[in-house]
Amino acid sequence: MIKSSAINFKNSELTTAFYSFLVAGLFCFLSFYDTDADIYLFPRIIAVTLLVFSVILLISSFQLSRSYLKNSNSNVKNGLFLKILPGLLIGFIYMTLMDVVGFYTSAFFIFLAFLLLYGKREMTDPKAFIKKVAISIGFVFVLYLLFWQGLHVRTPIGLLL
Amino acid sequence: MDFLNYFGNVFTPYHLMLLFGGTTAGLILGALPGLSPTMAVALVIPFTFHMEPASGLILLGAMYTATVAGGAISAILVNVPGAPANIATALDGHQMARKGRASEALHYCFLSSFVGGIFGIIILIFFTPPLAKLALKFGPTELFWIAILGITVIGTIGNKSVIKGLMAGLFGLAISTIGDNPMLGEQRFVYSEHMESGIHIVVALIGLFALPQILTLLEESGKSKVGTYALSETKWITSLKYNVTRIKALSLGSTIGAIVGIIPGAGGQIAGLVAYDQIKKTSHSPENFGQGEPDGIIAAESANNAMVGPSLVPLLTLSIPGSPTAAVLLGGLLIHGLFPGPDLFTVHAEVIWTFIDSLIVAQVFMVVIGLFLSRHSGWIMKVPPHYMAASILVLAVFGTYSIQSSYSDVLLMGVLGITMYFASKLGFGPAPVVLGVILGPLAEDNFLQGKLIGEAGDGIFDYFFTGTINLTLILATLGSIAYSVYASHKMNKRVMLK
Repeated sequence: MIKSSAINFKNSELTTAFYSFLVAGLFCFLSFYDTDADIYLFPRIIAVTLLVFSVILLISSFQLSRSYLKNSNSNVKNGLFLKILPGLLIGFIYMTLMDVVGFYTSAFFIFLAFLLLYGKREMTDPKAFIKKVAISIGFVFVLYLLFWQGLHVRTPIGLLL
Repeated sequence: MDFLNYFGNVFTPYHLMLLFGGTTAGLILGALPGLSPTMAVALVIPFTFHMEPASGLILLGAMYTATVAGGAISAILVNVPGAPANIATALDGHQMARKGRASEALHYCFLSSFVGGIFGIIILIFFTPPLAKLALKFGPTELFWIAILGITVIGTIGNKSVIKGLMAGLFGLAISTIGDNPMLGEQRFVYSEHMESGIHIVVALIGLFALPQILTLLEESGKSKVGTYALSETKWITSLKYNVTRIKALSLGSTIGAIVGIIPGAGGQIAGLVAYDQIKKTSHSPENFGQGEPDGIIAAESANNAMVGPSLVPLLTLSIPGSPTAAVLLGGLLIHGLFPGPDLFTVHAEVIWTFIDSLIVAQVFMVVIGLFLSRHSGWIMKVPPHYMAASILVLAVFGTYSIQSSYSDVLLMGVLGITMYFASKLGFGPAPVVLGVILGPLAEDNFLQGKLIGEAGDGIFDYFFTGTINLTLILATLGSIAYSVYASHKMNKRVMLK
């Protein structure tokens, strides 16, 4: 009997092959549909090669032997997305905020948000909170010295800095 | 003796400061479990954008050297190699730490890294100029095949799936076609104003290496930390006396590292493991290996640092990187307008020899700072993953923005990074994608030029598929694919038998 991890692996290999085929197909469509052959020659060659490889991957993922599957583990674990979702949201907010409130101010808030959301939950401990705020301020200050003063990179100031 | 002419350039206060900063940061970043040397070097590239080419390369070279050596700290103290190059070091290094000999193991690591590193740079100094002259014979078709060979080698060797490695390289090539057509100047695949000027190499480097790393660190946050071992008070001079008596381990490791380094795409992981395997096989007491045998550390560490110099030989001459980190360094060269080949040693001789000379000084900094850190490196292991993730995110955004002061670059970096994170979960590595992005313009330019010359002469097929260099490069490309398919098949068979 094939273990559930092996079934997951086969599913994940099939999913990979399927997604690769979709991406290659999309790239083929974009390279060939309503485009000039001279301008799109190189992308067309890449697109066709990519499509051929994705078909080979699709076929080979169907043919994975049972004994191989028994010894393989899927890389895609359940609940993975939930764990990285807050990080992705913080990143999205960061990219939206930086232009409005300024690079340095948004960097401070985003750094602090990471420290508060991940790792140990110490929201009720004022000492731990102050420590995290101090680390965030220190980090942004070093960044300010390095970029603004040292490398003279002028980031958007926004409403604050 | 060109390399001696520019040696003095390294000893300016500014360059020494860069070497000190780069080596220290490299050792610490290399020691942080989960941060790859490739990502560390990619993250530093935007800083170098605002420097003189020689200064920028000095910083990148120091980081490259130090991150490889720094990875041994976590391999020894917590049994988690800081980089793939340090896998072999963990085998005996961690056993020594468990026996209360952690400091001694770290001393062996940095001292043998220094010996291997210097040996590797000597190879770099003497092998690079003659090979660069060979590149003079390259026309458009040869340069096209060189780009294809580079992508194939990085895509196939060291990847679990050959087909996925090749597809990753093709994805990189596809990304490189966004923006202007190099011959006709017409725009392609531009569906938003953010994509109008294509995707800058550094945007791709940071997005593809740094962002997936952030998300991986977030996955790991909250997991219980592995305990580290106490650092004893062993004097480094005692370790040095023992180290110099291990000539066999040092010479075997350095030689294997140099040979593996010069083979495109192989990298430090293979160098360390092959050296470890060979020293174990030729030892009078192989049963001691895996139990805390110093020769295991000495061979592995001298090999992975001896790989650094030679991995730059095919990079500086033919633009084929010897390791994924060397692929990132190629991006660093290109943003300073330095293109691999003979020009590098004639037109840009001062820059490139200053860079190569600085690698020797970086080895000295590495051993001195490394030996100092040997006594104080315990704290590095205690940095929580979410602190690293937050720092990398902010640095990645600032670094990306600083290249062209463009908000679009930051958005593109974000999109590329998130896509690469999910792609890596499906088995696609970032190194071939990055190399595809870097070598894409070289491949396309020369393909189109070759096509025009071929059409005007004996035909495209004849022009691309005849000539000794063309055929050698095509055979090397097919050979690397065939070898990787064979190696992958052999590995699957072994797994099935187990």
